Amino acid sequence: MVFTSLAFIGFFFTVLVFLYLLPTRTSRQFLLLVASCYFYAYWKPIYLLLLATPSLIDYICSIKIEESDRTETRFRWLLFSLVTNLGLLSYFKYTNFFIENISLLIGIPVRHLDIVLPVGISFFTFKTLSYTIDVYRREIPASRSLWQYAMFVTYFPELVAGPIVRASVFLPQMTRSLGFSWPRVLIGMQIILLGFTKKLLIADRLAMFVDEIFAHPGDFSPTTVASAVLAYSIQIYCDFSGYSDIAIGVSKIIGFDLPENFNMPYIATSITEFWRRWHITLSRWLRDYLYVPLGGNRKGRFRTYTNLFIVMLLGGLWHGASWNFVFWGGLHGTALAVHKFWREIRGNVEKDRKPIVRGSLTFISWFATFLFVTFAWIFFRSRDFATSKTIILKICGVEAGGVSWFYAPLLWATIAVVIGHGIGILVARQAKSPQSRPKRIVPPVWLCRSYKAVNYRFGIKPSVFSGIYVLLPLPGFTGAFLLTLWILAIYLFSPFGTNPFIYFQF
Amino acid sequence: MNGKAQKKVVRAWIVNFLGAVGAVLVAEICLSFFSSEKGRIPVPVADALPAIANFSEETNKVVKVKQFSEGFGVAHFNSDGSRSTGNDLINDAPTGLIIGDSFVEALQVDDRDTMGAVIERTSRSELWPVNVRQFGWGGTSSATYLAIANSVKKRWNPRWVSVLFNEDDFTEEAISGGRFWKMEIDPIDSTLRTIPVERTGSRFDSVLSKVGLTSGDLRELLNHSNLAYLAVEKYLLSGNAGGAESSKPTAADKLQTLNKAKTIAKAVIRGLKVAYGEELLIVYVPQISVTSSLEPDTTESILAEVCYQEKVQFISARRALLGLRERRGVLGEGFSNTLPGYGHLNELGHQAVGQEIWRAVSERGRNNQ
Repeated sequence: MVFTSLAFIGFFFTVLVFLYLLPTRTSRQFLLLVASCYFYAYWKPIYLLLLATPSLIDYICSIKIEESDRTETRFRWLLFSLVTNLGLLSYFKYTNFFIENISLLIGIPVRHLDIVLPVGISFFTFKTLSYTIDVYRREIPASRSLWQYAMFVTYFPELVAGPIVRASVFLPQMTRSLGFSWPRVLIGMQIILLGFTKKLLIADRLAMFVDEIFAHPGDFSPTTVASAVLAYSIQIYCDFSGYSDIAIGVSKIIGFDLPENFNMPYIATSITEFWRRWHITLSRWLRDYLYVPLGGNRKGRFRTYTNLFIVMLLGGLWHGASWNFVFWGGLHGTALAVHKFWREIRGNVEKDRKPIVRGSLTFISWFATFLFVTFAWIFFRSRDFATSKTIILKICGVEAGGVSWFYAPLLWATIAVVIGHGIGILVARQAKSPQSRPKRIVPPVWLCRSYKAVNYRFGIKPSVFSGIYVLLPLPGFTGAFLLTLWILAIYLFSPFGTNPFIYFQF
Repeated sequence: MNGKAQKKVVRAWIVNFLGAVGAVLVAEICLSFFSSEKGRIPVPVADALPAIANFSEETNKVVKVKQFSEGFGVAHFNSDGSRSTGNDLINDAPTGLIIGDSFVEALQVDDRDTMGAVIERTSRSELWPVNVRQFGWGGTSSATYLAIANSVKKRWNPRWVSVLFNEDDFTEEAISGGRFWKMEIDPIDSTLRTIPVERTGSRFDSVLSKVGLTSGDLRELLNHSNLAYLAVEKYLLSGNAGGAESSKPTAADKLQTLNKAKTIAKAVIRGLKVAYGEELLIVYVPQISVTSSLEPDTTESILAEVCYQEKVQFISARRALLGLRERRGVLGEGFSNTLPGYGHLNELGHQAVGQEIWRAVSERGRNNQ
């Protein structure tokens, strides 16, 4: 059930109606659990078992870990949990990749196994892993309520493609009443619409063009291929952040707050900053559960660079069972290590420079970062290295000729993304203090004031911003006007049919 | 809630409502700049055939149609349903006819970029001027081309008649599911019988009927709203797009489809030959993408074979469209907001097809002289 499908919209409204009709918090939670199971079973009912088995094991393991004082016993239970989770992930995701490579090595063709990758396995595996590890580290208590734990694992808005929510964030919210709340509906609805806009009006439009060019890159001209690479850069951002927005918005309306997953990644002026803004929940997961246990930056420079490289290599492999993903991860790992090295040898010389020099350097840094990220997407999107090679040769002008095609939606999408990011930067600057860079975007003061003026009059007080999201002033004439136009635009100008989200395959 | 608070809430809802209504009005106005009443194009239903036969420049009322789903085109149509070429008529010059479906209707390109306009300009530059009448209606099939034959021949006495075909024109659906006219093929002697399809009244009556609106003021209101039309059309098209997946055809299915296509093509070409006579020229317009080759597709092969058997002149635009790709690195189909090589002919495609038609008919003319 794809978020942008009519089936999901119908499903969500039905869940909401029953959620608001039910009298108690427990009954509402039970409804959400049933709805989440239905949501997952919609793809293939049998996979519910796959979701239930490791969840149950993790539930038991976490209790055993908590109950035991012996390090050895605690570690054994943790190991059991890790082996189960990673074993299932490896079987479903990497078996054929392994077979393929062994077959290549020994030179004997081996038949692939008929394994269907369960939707969202990478995401819920990471979620449950983090839970057991957190309990092991005594950062959170083990959940004694199977009911609540099951809801945490299966919670449908973020089940199949994130954001990767940790138990420490989700479980404390279980005390919420989950009743109807106008402010939450108004905020959630706008975040959902933002997600729909990104997905339907931008990502899906660009997908058609990108798919065509990446399928036959050799037949298109260098400029067309380059424009397709740029289009993919925008597509994957709008597709995945759009999905996250919808998940966050849906969850907001239900009554749970999910962590933000994207914070204008393409304004990053370094690769390190990019990973603080792109797929934030995965970056933090990799940092806390892989980079830090490997030693992080505590064991000298060389180990730090190596750790960064390993983490990104594995991060690449997490995305998909293909050398292209591994290479993509390796590229990012190398870039992170190089950036860290550069920062260490260069120190903080920024403050001594003239503003114009600082501005120019910032621009160059931004451009270089964007160029690198976009270049790396070539490996992420191409079906194999041969395709990547053709694309790179085309872009570099080594292979000329081919059909030229100007795709107008790319121009509109670029303008829309630039304007969107521009607004974000302006709003972020407003709250930027000389000492520290703000982690969250805060809207300008005038917007807050005017918004409050309208809102307080009608007795509904949602914030003008919700985390990184800048919202329309609702209720009010302008808000209703813009919201209606927005909904009409999404409906009328979205392409036909429903494209699955890119990250569903992971 | 006291009275004052209640009033505030009511006021808030009224303001919200007004905001939403304002947005709908603005959307309606904005859309009117981009779309227009496609349904105003005169259509070749049975009742309209006399009007086609008796068309007069003096009483002609031109209809302007805009569209933006494939590129952005402004098209003008005459009151007999023919697409304007944007060129002046030359008295005493012979007339050529181009007949087809949406490829001839060509809403995607401006008048002067249509294949008819290209032929007129080329012929005039070669000092052998012709006037071209282009009759094309989206979603029509050979049944319509047969139905209008007597009317257009009577009115224009054409020197040549080009009928355009595409890949899907010889399927069962193209025969029985066409707009305005459908046809039946006699199983014994393969002769054709055209049958008028029930006429639809307003511009999107069929669309409204599908959503259950068959009468009343609401229907009238919606009939005049661009926003409502687009919204309903979108809803229905979305439904079709998300329809059930069709099963993969087996080898036997493919053979059956192939045989059926041969039978249909034979009957259609025979019928057209009888209707339009020696002036007939069959033009095949293939879909040329970046991977297409000179190898003819199935429909093209069938059509070429049938035309050869029936002694009807046949040309394919494949070589011309491929030439565009190979020599100039452009495609003759598709627009800046569609996929490369998919959809209708763009101005370059019209140019290529127009020149191919002119080459064929001028050669024939020279041979006949």
